[in-house]
Amino acid sequence: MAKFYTKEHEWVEVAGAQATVGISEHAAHELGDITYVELPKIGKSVKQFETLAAIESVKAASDIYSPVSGKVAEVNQALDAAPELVNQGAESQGWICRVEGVNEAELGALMDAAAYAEYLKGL
Amino acid sequence: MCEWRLIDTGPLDGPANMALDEALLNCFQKDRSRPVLRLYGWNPATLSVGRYQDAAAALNLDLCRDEGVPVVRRMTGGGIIYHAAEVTYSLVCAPEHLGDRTGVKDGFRKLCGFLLGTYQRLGLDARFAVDCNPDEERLGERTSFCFAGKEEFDVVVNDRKIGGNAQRRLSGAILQHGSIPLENRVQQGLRYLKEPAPGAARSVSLAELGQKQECDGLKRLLVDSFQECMGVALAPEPLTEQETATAGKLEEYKYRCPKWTFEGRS
Repeated sequence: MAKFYTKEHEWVEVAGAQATVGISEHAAHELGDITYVELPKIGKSVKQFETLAAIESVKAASDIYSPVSGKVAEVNQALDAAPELVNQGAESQGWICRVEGVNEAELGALMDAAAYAEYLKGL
Repeated sequence: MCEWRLIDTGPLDGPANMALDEALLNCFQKDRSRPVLRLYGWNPATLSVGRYQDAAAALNLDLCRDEGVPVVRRMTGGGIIYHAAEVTYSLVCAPEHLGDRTGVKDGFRKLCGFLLGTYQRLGLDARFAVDCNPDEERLGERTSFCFAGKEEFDVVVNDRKIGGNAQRRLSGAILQHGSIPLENRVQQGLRYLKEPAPGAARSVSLAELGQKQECDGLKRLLVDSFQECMGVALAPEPLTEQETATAGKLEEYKYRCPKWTFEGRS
């Protein structure tokens, strides 16, 4: 499955009409030790690039924006007790939530892994 | 040279202070607004808790109520702070105002640079924690009391933490606020905690470093240091009508509401 990224450093992996969302390894590294993840409510409807969740590190509290529109179907409850999972694997076990009802056409507004790597070089 | 607005609101109470900081952030438009540096104080002395802290678990709320010490919840993360005898600042800008240092870590270094400059103007050996004794202890460990913890970009003088800073990032806008302690009131603040915070004894204030500073004098130093470190000009200005109105609403419907203060919900 291909992964896509936003300019605000979220990632999304789409399988059919369902997408898994998180923050990028780069963002997790930049934020430092993650101390809290405010997970979205299941059933919450989000539009692409609107606020989905929030994350706090020892350095800053940041909003997480949804890379795609849809409805939150599942959240990573493990982050409640272990927010450090985001530091350990922001793009694997540190996923934030799953969104359903995704329109794949929205992926056109995102960057693929190669374009994101280029984008990071320019920061 | 980029011009920033300088807004000195003087001392206000906790809800008014936090509402105003959030209003400055909410009213900031990335491509249209000039960035802002606000200077303020706290009257009465107030305990602030971080955005995601459990106030009832960390604070002895009965004692706070009995002694009339107000509690307010910030929109920024971090630990509890007892705000008394300090000069407080907040700033709102776009990532682009940080030049090429737009990341969180670099941003902190850039945005806290004027604090180092201020202390250095007083002849103090101020550095970032990460730049001195990096191996001495674990930086960034979570504590419920802000001044008990030490993070990479905390400002330290003689290896003791001075003041605290916290950031909130939205898409296209950054809020950072923090404190410069004139006198050490940490011991008073610690009385209201449920758990001891041993690291807090290592925090320090200007008075303890032999610097008896008046508020106004310190503000002038902050302004000079900010202009030099950020390479910008500060222009004193009042709040806009929109900022005042937004702050009024946030104060009434968020920061004065127990639901927000004690449960973190608004």
